[in-house]
Order: sequence, then C-alpha cells, then structure tokens
Amino acid sequence: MALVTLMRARIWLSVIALLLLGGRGGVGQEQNWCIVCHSEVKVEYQESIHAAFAVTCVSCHGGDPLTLDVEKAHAVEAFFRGTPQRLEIPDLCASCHSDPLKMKPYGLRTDQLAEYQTSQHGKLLAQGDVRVAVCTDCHTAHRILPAWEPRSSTHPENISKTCARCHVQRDHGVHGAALAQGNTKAPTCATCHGAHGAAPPGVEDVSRVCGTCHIAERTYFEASSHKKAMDEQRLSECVSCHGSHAIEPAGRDLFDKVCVRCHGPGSHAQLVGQKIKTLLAAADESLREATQILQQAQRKALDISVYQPRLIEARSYFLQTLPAQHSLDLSYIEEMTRRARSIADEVRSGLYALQGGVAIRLLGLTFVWIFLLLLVGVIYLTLRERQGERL
Amino acid sequence: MDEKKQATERRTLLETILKSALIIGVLGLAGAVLAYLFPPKRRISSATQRRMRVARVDEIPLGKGKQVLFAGEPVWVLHVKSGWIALSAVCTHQGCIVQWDEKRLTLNCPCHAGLFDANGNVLAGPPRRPLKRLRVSVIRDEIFLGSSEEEA
Repeated sequence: MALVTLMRARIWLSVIALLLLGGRGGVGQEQNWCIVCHSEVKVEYQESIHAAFAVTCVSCHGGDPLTLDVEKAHAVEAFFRGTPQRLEIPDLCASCHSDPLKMKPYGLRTDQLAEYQTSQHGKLLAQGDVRVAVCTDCHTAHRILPAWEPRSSTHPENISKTCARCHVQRDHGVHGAALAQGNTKAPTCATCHGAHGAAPPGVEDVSRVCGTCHIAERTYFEASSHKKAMDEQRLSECVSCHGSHAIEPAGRDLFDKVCVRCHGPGSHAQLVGQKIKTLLAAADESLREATQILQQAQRKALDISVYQPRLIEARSYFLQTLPAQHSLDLSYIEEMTRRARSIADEVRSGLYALQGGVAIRLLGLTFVWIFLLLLVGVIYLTLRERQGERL
Repeated sequence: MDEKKQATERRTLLETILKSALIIGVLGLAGAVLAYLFPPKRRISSATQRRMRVARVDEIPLGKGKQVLFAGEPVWVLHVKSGWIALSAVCTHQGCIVQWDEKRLTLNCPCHAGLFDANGNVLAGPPRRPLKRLRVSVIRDEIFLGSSEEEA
C-alpha cells in the first residue's frame, strides 16, 4: 500500500514538473501521459519531428495516452501493441508514411515502403531475416529527426556512421573528405547504394551510378574504346581505375599506377596514357605559372583586366580536358591542352612585359629622386653663395 | 681677383642649374595638367569599370544571349521572357566558362555538366552557388551592364 502511494506521488510529481517545464512537442502533456512513466525516452521523443507534429506514442505503440492508470493505459482493449516486432516495423511506419493524404500536408514522399521492398534489406526481411535494417535502425525509434538536421542519423555527415552500425566502416576517400569539409552535396553511402531501396550496384550499373554526378566523365567514357572492352570482359568500369570506396584523388599518377594493370609496359595503350599525362602536365604547369604571375601583378596593383578573362578561358579549356581524358581521344586532348597552354603562355608573356614596364617606370622614378636631391643641394649652395660665405 | 671671378662663375653656374630645374619642373607640371585634360582612352574591360554598353535591344532577339567581357570576366547578357538578365559566365564550381543553350534556355558548363537556369540558379550538377548576377538596364534602346546586384 505504501509502495502504491509512493508510486502515485512520483507520478503526480512528474506530471507537475512536466506541466511546469512545458512540453516542447506539438501535443500537450495532458494528451500524452505515456512519457510520465516512460521518462527514459521522454527527451528523445520530445526532440523528434514526430513530437513537433503531434504524432504521439499511441500512433506506434497503441494504448490509452489519456490515463495515468498503468493497466488502462496498456489494456488490449485500448489496442496496446507494446514494442513493435522488427518484422512489423516497415508496415507500421508505412501506415502513415505511405498514405498520400497523411503525408501531403508535410510535403513528404510516400514511396519509401515500395522502395524498401525492392532493397536487399527489404527482400531479406520478407524472408524472415530480422537481422537486416528496418526503418528504426537508420532513423532511430524515438529521436526521429529530419535528414537536413545535422544531429539526424540520416544527415549526410552521419550516414556513414549509421550504415557502419551493421556494415564495415569504410574509408570513403575523396567523397568522405569532401563531406568532412562540410560539403553536404558530396556523396554518402546512400547516394550510390540507394537509401530506402539500398542495393549494391551491379558491374554494368557502376558507371551509371558514378555518372549521375560525373556526367561529363561518363559521356566521354561511353564513347571510348574502354567501354566495349570492359563490358566484354565484365570489368567494373569506373572502379577498375578509381577504386570503389576509398577513392583517391584522380591525380596524374594514376596513369603510372593503373594503366599497367591491364596494358603491358611499353604497349601502345600504355604509351597513349603517358602521352595524355604529359599533355595534361604541360598545360597544368603553364596555367600554374601564369596564375602565379597574375597574382603577383595583382598584388602590385597592375591593370590585369585584359589578362584575367584570358586566363579564365585557358583554365576552362584545361578543365574541359580533365573529363575528356576518359574518351582516350588523343587529338581532342592535344587540341584542348594546346589551346590552354598557348593562352596561358600569352598571358604569362604579356604580364612579364607589364611588369617590365613597371621596372622602367621605377628606374625613371629613381632618376627623378636623384634629380630632386641634387636640386636641394644646389639650392643650399646658392643660398650660401648669396650670404657671401666661402665654400 | 681670381677668388672673386671664381665666386662669380660658381654663382652663375648654380643659377643656371636652378633655372634649368625650374624649366624641367614647369614642363613636368604641364605634362600632368595635359594628362588630366586629355586622359588616355579606357579599355573596354577594366576592373574598375562601372558601366558598359552591350548592344542595341534589337541585336539580341528573345531567347538569345551575348557574351561580353565586363570588369575582367566574361558575362552573359540574356534576353528571356522576363526581360534582360546579366550573369557571370564563370561557373561557380571550378571556374569554367558556361555556355548559353538557346533550345533549353539553360547555361551549361562544359567541364562538369553543371546546369543553371536563365536566372543563374543551379539546376543540376556539382555547382553549389548560383551564378553571380549583374545589373543590366535598357536606356533608349541600348543595353547597359552595371555592377553586381549584390554589391549595389
């Protein structure tokens, strides 16, 4: 009896405390008494997007949220469901999230369940394997936050950690580095594997998956002699040279490391690779020098307005050549790098001439100063003469 | 006597030098005044340029665009349904020069397939920021480019 009295006292104290503090969610405390007892999930729930939009505990767990009577709250008559089974979770979430009428006011899509069923996760779950990921594994059960919120488990910066709860944490190379620098447009696990429809891309699909972002590279690659040869030998197109997860920056050293994996040293194909590498290196070097001189000229406040757009043009030609490498079209690459180099060289010589002009002006200024100093001396001597003093 | 002669010669020399210096100074001053009165012609594109004539309105029909150099960078002046729009032609991804696609009414980057609409907004591809927009005005059937709208 004393225990029951103590329990009731605790419940009422909690109720008073909650009322005083005020709930953060969209539902008043009086409509969702569940969190009075289930205080372990209170903070998580109240932070969630569900709480903000009045989706209460009862939506997922059933029961009566309007009573503090433990038995009535958990009564079967009140459709109390308890903790949903993993097998039930996708359908349970979809009872709202696949309903266009319910989702329309929030502007949310309703195809997640359909996509999930096509995924490796969904297929295995349908076979009764409950170890695979269900909605709550990625979105959490109670602290469900919109993906744009940085604390969300589905925010781009957190996705790899979320996937790594089950899968091996991988080094995500350049993509991971870009994400770590705050570029939320950089690809995450979900970008290549899909989010709800997660599945590993097949060998033929890899170039399409990479090509959704690297559009120019894909277009050039598909026109190249590599495409047919790799398809015939069922080689993974982009992955063969760039790797899959730990993708290194696509530097020119790849020509030395990668080509020889398939093409023998000294073979025609390997020499083409080396030629492309040399052309790119020469154009890059010319551009780098021209940019350096332009920056020097800028620091000296020289008028670089003629050279600036020319350098933009040269850089544009060079940058166009980078995806064009995938075409293996040597004449095109030669032409584009030649344009980049000749403009960069023209800019460089123009800027040298401009700086030379400045040197001449500086020399002139030095003469003027010498002249002025001599003049001061002459004035001094003249004044002394006029005062009748001897030198 | 010799000393007096020497002193006279010295004084004459000093006065000659002073007179020559005065003439040189006056010439320099006159040169500065003339340079102010008759300034050298400005180049078409200058970093400090405030305004530039682009074309007559009938030279750029609806749906067409003209690329010009303004304040040291290439700029697209586009004629679209909503009027005249001037956008920097430098892609906000890596700095390539975007091209105006008259059929799709988009600006396409040839380097990484960045795609912008006629207002400079990113439609697709790697760019994250829209193209810089510049002020454009029509005065007596002549199109003029001004400074950046953000700066204005």
